[in-house]
Amino acid sequence: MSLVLLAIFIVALLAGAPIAIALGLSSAVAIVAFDLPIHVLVQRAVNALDSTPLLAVPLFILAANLLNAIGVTTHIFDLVRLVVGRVRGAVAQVSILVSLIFSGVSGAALADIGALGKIQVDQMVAQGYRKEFAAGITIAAATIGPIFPPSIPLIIYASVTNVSAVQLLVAGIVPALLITLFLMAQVAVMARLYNLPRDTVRPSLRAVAQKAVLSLPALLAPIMLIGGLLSGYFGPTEVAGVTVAYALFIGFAAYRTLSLRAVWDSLRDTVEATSGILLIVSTAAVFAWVLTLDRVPALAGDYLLGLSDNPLVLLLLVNLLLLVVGMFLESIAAILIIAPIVAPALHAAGVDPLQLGIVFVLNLMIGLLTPPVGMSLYMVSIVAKMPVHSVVRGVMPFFIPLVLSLLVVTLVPAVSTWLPYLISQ
Amino acid sequence: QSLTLRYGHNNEPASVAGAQADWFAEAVAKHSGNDIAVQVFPSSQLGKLQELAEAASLGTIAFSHNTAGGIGSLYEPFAALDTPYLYRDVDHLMKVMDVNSPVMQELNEGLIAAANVRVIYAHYFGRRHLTCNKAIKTPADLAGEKIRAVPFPIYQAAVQGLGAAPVPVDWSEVPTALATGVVAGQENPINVILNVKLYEVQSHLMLTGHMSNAEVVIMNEDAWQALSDEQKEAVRQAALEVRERATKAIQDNEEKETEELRKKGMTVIGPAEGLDVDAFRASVNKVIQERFADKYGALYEKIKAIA
Amino acid sequence: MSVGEERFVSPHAIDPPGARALGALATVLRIVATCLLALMTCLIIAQVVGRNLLNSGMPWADELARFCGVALVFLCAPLLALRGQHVAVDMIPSMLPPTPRRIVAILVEAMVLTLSGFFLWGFYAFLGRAWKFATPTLGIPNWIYYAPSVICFLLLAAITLYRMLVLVRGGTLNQAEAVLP
Ligand code: NA
Ligand code: NA
Repeated sequence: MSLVLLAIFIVALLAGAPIAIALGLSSAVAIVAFDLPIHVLVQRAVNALDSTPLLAVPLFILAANLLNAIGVTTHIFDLVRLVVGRVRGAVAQVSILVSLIFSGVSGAALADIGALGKIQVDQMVAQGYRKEFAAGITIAAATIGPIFPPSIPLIIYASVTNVSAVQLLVAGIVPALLITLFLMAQVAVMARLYNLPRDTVRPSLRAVAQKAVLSLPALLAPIMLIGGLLSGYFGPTEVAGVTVAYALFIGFAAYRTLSLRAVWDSLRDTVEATSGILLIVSTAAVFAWVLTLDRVPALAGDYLLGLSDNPLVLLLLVNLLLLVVGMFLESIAAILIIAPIVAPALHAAGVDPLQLGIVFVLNLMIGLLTPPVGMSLYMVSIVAKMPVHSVVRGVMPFFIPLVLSLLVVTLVPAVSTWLPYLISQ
Repeated sequence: QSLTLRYGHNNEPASVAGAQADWFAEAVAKHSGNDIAVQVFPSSQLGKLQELAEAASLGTIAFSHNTAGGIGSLYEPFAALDTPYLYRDVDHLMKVMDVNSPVMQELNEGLIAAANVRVIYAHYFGRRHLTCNKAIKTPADLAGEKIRAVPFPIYQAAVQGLGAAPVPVDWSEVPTALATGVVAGQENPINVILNVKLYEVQSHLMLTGHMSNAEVVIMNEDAWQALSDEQKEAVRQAALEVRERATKAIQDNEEKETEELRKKGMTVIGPAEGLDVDAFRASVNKVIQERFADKYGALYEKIKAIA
Repeated sequence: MSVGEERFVSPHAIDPPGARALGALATVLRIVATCLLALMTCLIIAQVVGRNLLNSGMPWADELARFCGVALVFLCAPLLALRGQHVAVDMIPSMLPPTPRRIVAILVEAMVLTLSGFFLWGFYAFLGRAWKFATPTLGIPNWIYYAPSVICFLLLAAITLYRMLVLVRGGTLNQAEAVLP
């Protein structure tokens, strides 16, 4: 049964069918061909979406859309540039830092590239950087977004593996800072090697102060959000709701750049993005149901545990598997298909569920940068109007810090687990 | 072997509720001389709790188990069996839950007609107790406190009757919500409190015993009717055997596990430590009378009448 | 997009009757979905306020918010299909010459149509027997709970037929979007 399922899924996917359709169609055919009741299709597809933690997905997208509509990204960019502009390779370093700050409100790499990609690439090119380098650092830095809370892939991972979404989101904080550090180190090295440009004008204190005041309400958003997660006044869904409320407040009361029209447009864009992501979650649930009925997760678990019972070896195996999967499969679909299969076995072997979640998602976020299926590559090529293959050349050097981060997160559980367990004491 | 039947449930295989499904599969194999194989899918692999009840109703799976409150989504009167302070003791609960008791026979007929599933057995699943981060001795101590409640009306009534404000929290978030103070406490049977390590995030266990739950095992009616007489008998035998075994396992564990929670550092507050169970009972009953007497009054009388 | 595909077909020359109604309907559903998102956001914020300021839980708000969350996904999906915006990997089709590419595109639409058919059959089989089971807190019966998804796949089927027709008649999927208001 699973072979029929996989065969149809792959054929449909290669033919260019939407991923949600490929998952649903292959499941439906398997259900009918093996004489299972067809109503499972609709029951599972609808019930899979009926989940409070999943409501955080549209809410976080909405919060990011609203902050974007308010126009705070430019202020933040200007501020960071005024502060660190005079180091070598400054605009590249600024790009990384702005990605980190923006990741505190945005939950997806593609959203980061959509919101920041153009301004990042344009500013670097204006300063004389090669365009492919600019595009490369932009999408490499966008992997920080879905690791630092909030994060749509982490929320979806938590919901399919029954891990606490709050803990998993908090678990991403240190690894995201680590990636930032590694990326900045790489840029610093490249800045020396290639003699990258820097700003020469010393900014006046007044200009910095002015920009700081302008950026402050926006800078408070991620701080408030993480504070909310850590303090426990809200669950992940509620944190998302509060961030939306805050964005509306600063948009109408502080910046006064938000109009009802802009709010409606943000809501509309959010609905469209959410529908696209969660329809995949919906049909993937049916797909997972068919695999489960065929005992694939149990067999795969036995197989994995038969290879080794050492948590570290298992984690490295999963990394290898995901690096391959991440080349070909879109990341959310990969989480939905692979996580329910391997997570139970690795939990049984003693791998910490939070560490596994971070390793899993970080690995797939690196997969966004690998051809042939690399959504970040496509996204920046559209935003910055350049061919995909030159983006690939540009991002190449940044695999060093990213893979290094992945290794550290894999080898040192405490990087992911220390902070979340600290708060639940 | 002539028949394979699927059993889907939401519990971890290591918990008693999860293990009893595996015991049932073994018992059915034994009593049917390996004629019937029961394939168990634990941990919500085949769907969420309510979905599983519907799946059994439609025949996607042959068996599932659920609390009486959960079965209430298929046939409303079942929810009455989860009423707080309803049973005198475990023995009374087991008599009411016996598929041949007058109450259960009547409910079962209604369930078959409404949802095409029948109850094949039910076992004691434990008494629900309150945990909190401070000592609670009377309903007044809970005034203004937020306690996580299962989102069913009767469970909410229970928490309100105990004196607190019921708040819905997704089960996956309960440990975190308790650790960070989204809610001050929660209520569950002892074995759940131990298995989910709630002792790490809660300091006090109050032996309120405000609700005794049965786990009710249901079977799709078409699957039941398709069985031969010998096969039906094998399922009946297995049901009897597992019902006793699971009940005994839970009862034996309750003492032991309470002790273990004490060792893990929880302060256990029972009547000896000043817990006013009668006050809780009176306060909960008041809420139940207000909200459910009209609907379930007749059923409550019949349950009381079972000796 | 190759130049060959853009030949001499004016946007509406190939519209079958009722195609513009499809576009309008998909847009109306997206507007409903947008309102549901607004409602859901309010419900979540109301729960935070209720719990932290008024000390009361609102289980009904949680359930209603989840219902909105499910409904908005399905209500917006047909519009995304009409615009060809569902996430897909078009690496291989984009390497094909125009004619095979058109054939593969028609096949993909046939897949969507088949899946819609399976879903509608599934709804018929499921709701025929389970329409009356209700959600635990608000008692929303299944026929309401599942209505947005039924509407989604009905409209998706119609939209897919329309997209197929456009392709068969030699148009492009970009032209299919012209029915949007
Ligand atoms: Na983020
Ligand atoms: Na990739």
